[in-house]
Amino acid sequence: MGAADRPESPGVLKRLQDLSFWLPGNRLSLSLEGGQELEAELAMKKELVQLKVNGRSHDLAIEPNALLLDVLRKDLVLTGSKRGCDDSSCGACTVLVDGVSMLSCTLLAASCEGQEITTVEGVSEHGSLAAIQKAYGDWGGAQCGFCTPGFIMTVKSLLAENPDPSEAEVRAALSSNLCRCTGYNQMYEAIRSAISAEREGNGGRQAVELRSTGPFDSAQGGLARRSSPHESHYP
Amino acid sequence: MTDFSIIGKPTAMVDAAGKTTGSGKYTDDLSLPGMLIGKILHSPYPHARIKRVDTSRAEQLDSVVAVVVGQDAPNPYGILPVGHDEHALALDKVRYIGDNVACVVAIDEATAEKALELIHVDYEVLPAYFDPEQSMKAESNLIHDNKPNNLEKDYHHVFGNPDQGFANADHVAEARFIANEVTHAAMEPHSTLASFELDPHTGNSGRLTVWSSTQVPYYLQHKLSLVLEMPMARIRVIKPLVGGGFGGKSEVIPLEIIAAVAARKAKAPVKITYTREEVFWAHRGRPRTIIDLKTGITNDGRITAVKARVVQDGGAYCSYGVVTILYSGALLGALYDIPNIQYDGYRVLTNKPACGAMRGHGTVNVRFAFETQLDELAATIGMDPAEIRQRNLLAPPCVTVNGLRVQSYGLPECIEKTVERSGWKQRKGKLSKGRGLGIACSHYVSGAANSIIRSDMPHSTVNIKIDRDGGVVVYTGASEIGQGSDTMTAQIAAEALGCSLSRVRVIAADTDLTPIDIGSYSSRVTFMAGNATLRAAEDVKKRIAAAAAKKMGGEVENLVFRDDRVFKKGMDIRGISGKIAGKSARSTQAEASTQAEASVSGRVEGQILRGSLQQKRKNEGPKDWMPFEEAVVAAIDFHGALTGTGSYAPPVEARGGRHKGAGVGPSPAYSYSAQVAEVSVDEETGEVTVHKVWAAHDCGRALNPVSVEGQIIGSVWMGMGQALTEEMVWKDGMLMNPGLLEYRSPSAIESPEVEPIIVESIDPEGPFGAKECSEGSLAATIPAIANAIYDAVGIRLHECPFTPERVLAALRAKKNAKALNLTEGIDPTAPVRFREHGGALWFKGKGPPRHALNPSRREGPAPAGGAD
Repeated sequence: MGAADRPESPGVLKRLQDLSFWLPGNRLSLSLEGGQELEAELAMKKELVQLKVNGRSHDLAIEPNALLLDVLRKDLVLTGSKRGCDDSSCGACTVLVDGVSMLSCTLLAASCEGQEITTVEGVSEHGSLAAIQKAYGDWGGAQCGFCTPGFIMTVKSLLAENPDPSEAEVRAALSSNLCRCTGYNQMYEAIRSAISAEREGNGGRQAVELRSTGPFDSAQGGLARRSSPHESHYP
Repeated sequence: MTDFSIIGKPTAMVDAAGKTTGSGKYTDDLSLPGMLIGKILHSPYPHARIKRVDTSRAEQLDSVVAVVVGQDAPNPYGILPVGHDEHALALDKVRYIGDNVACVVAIDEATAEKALELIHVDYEVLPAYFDPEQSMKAESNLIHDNKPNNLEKDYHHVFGNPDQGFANADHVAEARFIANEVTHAAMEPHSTLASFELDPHTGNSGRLTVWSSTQVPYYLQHKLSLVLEMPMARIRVIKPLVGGGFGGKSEVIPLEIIAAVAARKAKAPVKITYTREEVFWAHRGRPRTIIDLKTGITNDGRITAVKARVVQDGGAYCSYGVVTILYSGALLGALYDIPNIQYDGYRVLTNKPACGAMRGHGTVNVRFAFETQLDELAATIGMDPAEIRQRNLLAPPCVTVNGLRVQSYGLPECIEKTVERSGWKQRKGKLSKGRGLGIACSHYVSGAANSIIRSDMPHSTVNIKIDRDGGVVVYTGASEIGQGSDTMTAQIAAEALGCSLSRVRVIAADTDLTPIDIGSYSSRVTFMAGNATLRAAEDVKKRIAAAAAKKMGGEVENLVFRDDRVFKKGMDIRGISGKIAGKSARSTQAEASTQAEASVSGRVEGQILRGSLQQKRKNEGPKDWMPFEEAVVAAIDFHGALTGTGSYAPPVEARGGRHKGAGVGPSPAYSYSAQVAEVSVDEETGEVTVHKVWAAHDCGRALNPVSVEGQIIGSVWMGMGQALTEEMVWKDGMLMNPGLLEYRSPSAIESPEVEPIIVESIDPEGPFGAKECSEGSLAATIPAIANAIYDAVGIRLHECPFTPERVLAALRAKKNAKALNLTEGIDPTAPVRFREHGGALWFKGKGPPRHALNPSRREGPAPAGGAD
């Protein structure tokens, strides 16, 4: 049966077929006219790579086309970084590479050799929750928690670059990640409280007023003007 | 207000640290030694007969362990007892693009994917049905042979006298509304890990353990038992952390069954995780719904009658369909006082992925239609839209015409609060050009009063164990899916026992360890599992109190449990607490162990002095108070063991009427919501921006205000997604946007500020008065935005989502300008985003002729412009 007569595979299967060369694995099969099938061993030999993840160096034998997310999750069993989509749209796999937030699902692991990789597992400090982690819990920034590691990494990179972000800057930074539970509102409260906690060293109980920049700061209430989750913002 | 020590306080979720540090395990994070990976082959045709499946070449591939086909598990299943129409893998027919045909089990994903390409399937393509109204006329090539006219189910209900009601009306509005298909798109793709263990007695394959991302572990256990022909007692389902459900995991998804069948055939643990695209095919979301709605009102704004004809595009399998179509009709009632209702509901099968339950199950689309029409009628009689809603309130406690019992009813306060907080009276109609305010209300059940599998057995059971160290372990089948179920359980147990939250450990959703709970769906957990927890805690507290009372020389009724202590009533609790706090601050450790207030298991340099302290306290004779741990030890001394159990079944009075289909809709309590949305519309581009939503929600009592607010905001946000951007776009049964960006889940940039306003009506039957808070708010958001768009630019949108195309079309129609048809003159297969149905841009049979059997193929060369 010729390739032209084969039913079209839907969507991603077809795409994966087209991209199979780039996927982990070492076989390539091609359907040729007249029913011939060509199967070829690809020379996808593993290579020794040294990855520095969360301050610790690991010697790994990985295929050159292995993605960083798969190496983190499968080889290093750092399952905090999540896979939420097929097409780098959700941000759940965000990690820091030399302090820059990157999507580990579209990054070749081998290309990160010699760079500092930080995953969500490397965020806690001295065995305790970092301010942003504590704040996400206190303020309801995490519900199902699946997107949370990605958001934590995105926020970390935002605050490293800009310790005093405006509301619009926070929104713009968070737009690289998707969440389906929270509607993002409680994340803003968490971020604000974490900034304050970092600054004051007060455990996140005092809020900072983010510089307001636009129409979203409406006259009434506004985003997260509470100083603690214990203070009700309704009468 | 009663004084509580645990509930009502904003509390971080008990599992929050696992989520923020990445240490919490979701199903795909698990692995077992020797675990294999499964990959599923999906159908490329929307409707076809399978003539032959040849797996031989795939099986020969190195490192492929097994290939599973339909005959390996031919028993049918389905979430509803009336809808057993699914098979693990297709037996004779495929019914949608993405239907499951075969599964390869291999040592890794890449090998399995390679093997999928080597499976050869011969299909005989059949004509397919994509439009529900066309599908209802089908006479041949039915999707299921036992469903004539492709009609899954239809219901025809008449309550009161609708004809008389319309005759009494001064104004009647009648229109067609369409709500397009949306899906849950929970962040975690479905994943299942299944493993058999060998039986030491028979030497053969024995018990099965399944870890799965599910909202309903016990239903999964039941369906696995049907398909695998194993007793439920030999199947253990464990629910690890679940990355969001929204209803998408509230039924048995094909991969959950396939993984177990594959593990049986491969004789090794098998994990299957869907790709995001497969999640879209698995679907079970909110069906495209066509609503023909007629409402009559009098000049003073009273609703006299409502007539609704609802057609739902249910997809290829029954799923929750029968329940969805019933909810759509039943929940016309219980929000407002509507004396006469006529409802005709049709659940139709089409060759698309099955629709099922999604947040606000069945009510959302009809609520959009109703609230929009009510707004139109208010405009007709010149009444304020908030006031017309206040004119039609129920007078609870009452039973509606369709048999729904309403007790607590916070709707009046919800309307009042949103109107006040949004500045409705001052600002409505006075905003700048293109900006407007809209109001709408909604409600939802706090759990269904009748379970899917009808019985009088409890819907939730909870066990509590307290050991001599004073640690409280709560065993509950309730499924934490991110909504805070475990935290709610811990809070209720701690509040009832008067102990601190850190003492309580929740073991949840493991069918071997926890007693049955039918799952996390229809917002039942707080009300039902919460009540069961409360009863279990009361049960165990009764035992502790009996022993403590004996020891303290008082009456059981005179004991108070609070702040990790047991007191005699009337004692100044705060005084003692203060005294202790003061003392312990300056006491040394050694001193503390000899102080009366030291805990029974007071540790001194790592040694537990339980025995000696106990003896010391025993010798002290009757006292006015004792620490929780000492009371526990006394109870174990007294009873021998300390466990408690509680269960909950909805009361008979709440279970609804007797008509056919009366089982769906009744609930022990309803939540209420009122919302005001502020939007602006760009008249040049048709783009709608939501600036702020004020959402008041009556949740009975807010057990954990942070969670309640999070649920309200999340519901409003998801409703906004359906109102503005989210839509599943189909082309001949093929989903055109199976990715999170193409599906257009709103990002932080597009998401408005939501101001949640908690209203507490204290339900007489809820645990501490609590009701549902996670779904009821969703339905009001869509009509609130629709009504705000009318306020802003004077157009009525009857089809959601309100995309720029639809808004522009309506704006042009309002100006009597020629409708702008963006698909005109363009080959409909050419544009990237093509809509098969919907509004003014509906493709009406233009374009090249299609292949008779396979409309997704076109004869002849592709026309110019086919970029994708």
